[in-house]
Amino acid sequence: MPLAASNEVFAVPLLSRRRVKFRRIKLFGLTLLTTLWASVKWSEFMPTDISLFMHWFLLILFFLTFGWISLYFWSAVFGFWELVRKSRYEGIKHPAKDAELNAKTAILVPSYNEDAAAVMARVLAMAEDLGKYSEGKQFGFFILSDSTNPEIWLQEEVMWFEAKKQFPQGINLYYRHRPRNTARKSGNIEDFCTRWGSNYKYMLVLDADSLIIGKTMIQMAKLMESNPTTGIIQAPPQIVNAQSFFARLHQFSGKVYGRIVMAGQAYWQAWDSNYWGHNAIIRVQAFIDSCGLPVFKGKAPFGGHILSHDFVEAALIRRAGWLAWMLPELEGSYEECPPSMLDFASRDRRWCQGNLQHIRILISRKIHPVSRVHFTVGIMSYLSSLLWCLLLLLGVGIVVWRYFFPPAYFTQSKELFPAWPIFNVWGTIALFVLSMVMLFFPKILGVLYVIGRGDKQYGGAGKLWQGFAVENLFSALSAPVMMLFQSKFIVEILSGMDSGWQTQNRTAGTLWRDGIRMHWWQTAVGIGASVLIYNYAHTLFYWMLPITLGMMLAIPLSVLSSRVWGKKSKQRIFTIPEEVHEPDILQSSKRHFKQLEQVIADKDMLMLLKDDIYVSIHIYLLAINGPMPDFGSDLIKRVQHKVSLLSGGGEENLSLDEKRYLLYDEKLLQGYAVLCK
Amino acid sequence: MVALKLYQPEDLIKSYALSWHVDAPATILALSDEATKEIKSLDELLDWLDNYLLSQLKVIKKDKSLSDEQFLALVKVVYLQHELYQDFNIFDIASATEDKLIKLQEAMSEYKFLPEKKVVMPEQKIKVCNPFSLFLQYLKKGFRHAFGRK
Repeated sequence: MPLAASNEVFAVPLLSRRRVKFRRIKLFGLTLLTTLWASVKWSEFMPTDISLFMHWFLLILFFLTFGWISLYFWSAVFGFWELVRKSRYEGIKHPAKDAELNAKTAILVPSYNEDAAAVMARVLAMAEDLGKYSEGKQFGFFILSDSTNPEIWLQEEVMWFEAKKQFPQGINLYYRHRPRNTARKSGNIEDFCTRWGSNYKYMLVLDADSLIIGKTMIQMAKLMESNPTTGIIQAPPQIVNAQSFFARLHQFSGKVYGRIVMAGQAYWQAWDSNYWGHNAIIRVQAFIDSCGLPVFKGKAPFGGHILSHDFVEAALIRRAGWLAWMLPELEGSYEECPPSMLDFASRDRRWCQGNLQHIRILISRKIHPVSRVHFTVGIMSYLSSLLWCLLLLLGVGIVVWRYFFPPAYFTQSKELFPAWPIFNVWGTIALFVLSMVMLFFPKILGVLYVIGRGDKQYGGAGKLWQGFAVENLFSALSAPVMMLFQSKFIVEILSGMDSGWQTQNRTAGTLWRDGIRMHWWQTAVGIGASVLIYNYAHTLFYWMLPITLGMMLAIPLSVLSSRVWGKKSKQRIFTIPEEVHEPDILQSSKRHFKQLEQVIADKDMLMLLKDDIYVSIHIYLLAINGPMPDFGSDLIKRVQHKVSLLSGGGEENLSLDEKRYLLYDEKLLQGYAVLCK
Repeated sequence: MVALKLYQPEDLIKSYALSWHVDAPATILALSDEATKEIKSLDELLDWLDNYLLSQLKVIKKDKSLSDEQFLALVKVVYLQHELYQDFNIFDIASATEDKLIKLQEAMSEYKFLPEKKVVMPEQKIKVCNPFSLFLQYLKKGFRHAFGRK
């Protein structure tokens, strides 16, 4: 079935530069005006007995944090307005209904020590979906493995072989393992581009947990064909397959509020949009010509390879004159969410380091102003936590200070009137309420939008509002915990600590033991702050309670929210349409996972290597992977000795490095496979 | 029933090498009408393949270090991998004896299945500048844009 037959695509008038400029003036103008007005008010409401330095310091902190909220608020308001008015994003040229697709697209699936069966199940599901369309044959899948764990490396190859047997005719599935994972994901993609990229016009970059329906992939390729000056089209990914309370909460908020936020971003960013590193299609030649990433001088965290490469690649491709779009209308683009607060924080640690590394690109030459805004937004998404933390600390600090050093009402002798320190409590409360409204209002718009569309697959309006309430309660309690985490990350990064590259946990929950180990200090900060405030700044106690309570409850919040929550019912809270009517591609990926998992279930590397078929596949693929890394003669001798013992029935005691070497030694592998028979 | 379109083995070897480098190897293969045949079972295919390949051995064998047996096995694997991925385990034949398999692997490793079309990604320059002068530059641009002549 050609895609055009099932797809209602039509051309829309292209956006003029003037209109986009006007949109940006409106958004940033309103953001600036609101922030300036609130800052002036805050300046008036601040206590009068603080030093001028402290006054300005608090004012700058307030300006930055309030500005952040204000940008989010206005962006969401415009996004809501756009969604209500239009169903399709204007500006990009949509392909004609009967447009053919002749260009080849490589679908890149970078993988780093991921669950091999899960990755390949998703790939199979996507390929099957693509196979339904005649245009599907223009696509080919590349599993680009950077896995350092030899067990996973071999599993990936076995899964590749098993998946290839079931792959639809005409769609290729290639596997390559990189011996050295230089420059991590960006290096992985670059390796593809320099070796095979020239055979493809486009590449659709995915993450190991990404899923995109075939129709959308074809639509993305056709959009690239219709817009020859476009370098990147980003399809906003939607969270699916969430099981834990934490992940389902994010899944719900992404589905209900995310749409408004995306539409808001698309509204003002237009062709200067960002790239999020996955679920995006890229023009290969444009990428090769303009996105070769430099290695920064100096050591990590600020020097070395660029960690958050996606923003930089978007900025570079834009700098070269190519357009970058984010199209909220592209549906059927999915990803998964970390199952727990700790996994979320672990991912945040890497992103935080990557985003702070962008400071030097932010102030680099020839970067497009909107790209600079993207960098600023990225940096501020972590820095704002530290700023909020400082603002709270100073606010409490001033009240505690006053407890120990009461104000001097008469600073000179024989003074007629006392110098009353003035602090406008009600004004400050009004500003606080305004901030809360600006934070919650976009979420309310999201709920109203869903209700307005009459979408009943969320469990009805009652369930939606319940979800809204619980989500806000949890967000309010967990926000201080994340604030402390992110503030700690910034301090760590500024003091030169590198995050490294950990594999993401995508399934397991948090144990109490781990919860206590990782959150004890936040609980301690919460208890300490509560005691301090109760004794020395009592007037603030109840105002600060939502913050201190969140910190005190960090351990149970983190552990309990990582658990699968509620019965599997279609009427439970946080229900999204994809749970009520699970899309085919999700069902198919789960079905393939069950089947593929069986092949490698309970089999370690050495057990798999007893199978001569898998040994043959592995050796066959070695030729593609590239030269073997240097292991050193001692390790090689050790492995040879251990394998000879193993073949004679000895116990397995190979380290991961030794196993890695074994996978490179063809003769040793062949001998092992034969002797184990 | 397995309906197959067969290619000339020599092309097959080349195309196999090339197939890692292009999406649809079929497009670069010259399909031989003479070699097109409908085969109803795996056994029938294997019998036919043996006879066919043996008759072609002198033509297609370029690597002299391989024995006829090794080469035949290799071609069969290559062939089956190419055409029968969907239906048969490619190593069913090759793993008939372990010795043969090991020899086969050695032979396979000599082939470069993934020829590369290398290109270079030029490293982009990112030069940090003085943030203050950058700010002034934008300020100037903004003023010129707002109040300057069109």
